Amino acid sequence: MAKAVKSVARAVGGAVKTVAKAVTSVVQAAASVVEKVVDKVVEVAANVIQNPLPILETVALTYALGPAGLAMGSSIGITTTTMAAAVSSATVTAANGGNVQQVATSALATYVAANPGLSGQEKIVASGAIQLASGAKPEDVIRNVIASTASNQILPGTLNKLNTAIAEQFPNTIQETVKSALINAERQAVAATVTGQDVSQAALAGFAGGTVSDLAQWGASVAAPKMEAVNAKSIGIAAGEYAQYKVAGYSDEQALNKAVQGVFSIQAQAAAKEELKKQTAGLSGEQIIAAFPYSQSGQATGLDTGTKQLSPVTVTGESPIGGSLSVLSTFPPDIPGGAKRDATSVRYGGEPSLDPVTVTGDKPIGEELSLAGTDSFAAENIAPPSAEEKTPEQLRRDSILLSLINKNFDYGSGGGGTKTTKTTPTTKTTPTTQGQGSVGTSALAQALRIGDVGAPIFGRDEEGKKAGWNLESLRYMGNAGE
Amino acid sequence: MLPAPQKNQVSEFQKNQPVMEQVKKQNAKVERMDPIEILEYSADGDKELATRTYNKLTQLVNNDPNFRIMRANNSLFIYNNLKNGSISLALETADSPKVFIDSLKQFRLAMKVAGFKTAIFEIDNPLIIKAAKIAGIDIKTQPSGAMLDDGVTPGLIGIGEF
Repeated sequence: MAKAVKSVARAVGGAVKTVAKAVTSVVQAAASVVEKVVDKVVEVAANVIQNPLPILETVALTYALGPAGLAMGSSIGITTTTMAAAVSSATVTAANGGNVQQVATSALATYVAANPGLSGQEKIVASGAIQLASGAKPEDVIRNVIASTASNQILPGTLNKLNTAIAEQFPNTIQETVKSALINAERQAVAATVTGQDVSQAALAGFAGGTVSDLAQWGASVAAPKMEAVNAKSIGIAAGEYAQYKVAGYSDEQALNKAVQGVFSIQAQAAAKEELKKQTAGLSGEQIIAAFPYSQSGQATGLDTGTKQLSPVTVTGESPIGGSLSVLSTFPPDIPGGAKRDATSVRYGGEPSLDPVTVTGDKPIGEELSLAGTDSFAAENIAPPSAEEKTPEQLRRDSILLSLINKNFDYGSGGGGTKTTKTTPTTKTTPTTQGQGSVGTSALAQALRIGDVGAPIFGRDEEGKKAGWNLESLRYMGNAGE
Repeated sequence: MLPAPQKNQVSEFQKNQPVMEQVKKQNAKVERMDPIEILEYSADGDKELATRTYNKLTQLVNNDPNFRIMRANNSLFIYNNLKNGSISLALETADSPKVFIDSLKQFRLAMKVAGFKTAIFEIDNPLIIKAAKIAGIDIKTQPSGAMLDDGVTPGLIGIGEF
């Protein structure tokens, strides 16, 4: 056991350095790549967004004509075939009714798909650029980019070592629980990164929220026979847990239930609760901890770790952003049961398998681009246990995260499925015919019949005024052959 | 005796000066105008009308997925997607005649790429039929049943095929 702890500690130490270095370089790299990619790709897109009257350029569609089309495209910033393909595809979408604001994001998504040579880093940044083009705040985009890129950094060897350590450290029955708890912690940490919160605190909150009840149940099932008796020691231990839950924001009843579940058998729980209530009546969490020496002993819940603390563990799982992530942390004395709460490092690691955006469908005439991506950053994957078990802080984080998902990650669906972006017009103009073949529907007429009812479609018909139609041009053409 | 030849007061070059200027102007590179400038030009310099049109167009494009504006050179092709491969079309242009033909060509190709087949529009100047033909757009006409502004000429509806 001690050997395992040491190897884990070594692995964590190595990982901390690696990741610390990685994050520094990531920030620098991200900044430069953001500049590069965004400059190239968002340029055209940003113009679309910034222009209050979104206009589609014909050249954006006619690139397919070859060099001539491309040459025309250079006038609006389309300088490469790939870019032209991206912009064209997006413009086709918009021309057929796609949300004009999405031209930018579609162009970027197509750009990513059309560039198999892009590195993982560039893809991440392009993904960030999509968010940027969608209107996300630049600082949020940078956070996302950093979080995504960090997940691309950790070495597979480190993960293997840590996984082995987990296998040695915990019996089979608890491994999955710890893993899932840490996945939860990692998600909270990612959320914290994205939202600018403290990562280690968020990870810890996630870990505690996801783990405590499971660990307590496991401890009860394993250690119940030993701790069935409602004696002073076990009450002291339960009091410690009770205090921790109270501090964590649980109601008295919930904290009591949780505390006795971890220490007493089902038969003894009712009696233990009564005893606990009696002994802790009127005391705050801190007072309880001070009053019960066993509450800090780390003997609770049957977690016989020898050193009275959870050893550093790692977990791998589906990354919310695309690669596999890992969380490395040490959890020594204030998790109920004696584990300490000084988690110092949360790391994202995994194989460089990020491919956040892919585009399916080749020429979506008449329909919008269909974007597929791995977006396990979905609500159902994030939501920890149940609402009643969440602390207010968790709920707050969840809501922040969900709002981020809705804003920034709606181009993919959970589990790598395909999602078709659907445009929902906020208002709908009802076309009314003005006789078959009339120039405009009511929308068009409304746009152009500005002012008095019956005003001409183009220009004004006041005496001496020319129509909006460029008559000189037409007259010239008419006379040219004469 | 023949009179002594007199020096021509106006040279051929000077005579042709306006024509040359015209040619030079037409051969010059097209200056890209802002959409609002195009609208202003098209509204004979009426800035207020251009601005109101611009605002209304903005509102429509942003709120109606069927309503779109496509630009080629300094021409704005305003169309409404009729959903059956057809569009109803209107036009604002500040292009010179030569460039205008090019704009029509570009628009035709763009519409083809986007999957549209026909455009329906009201003809208030028959010369557009000729222009469209030069640009490769075949136009069929049919009476609209209304009269043009002069009150004498019957209005026409054009159906152009991309």
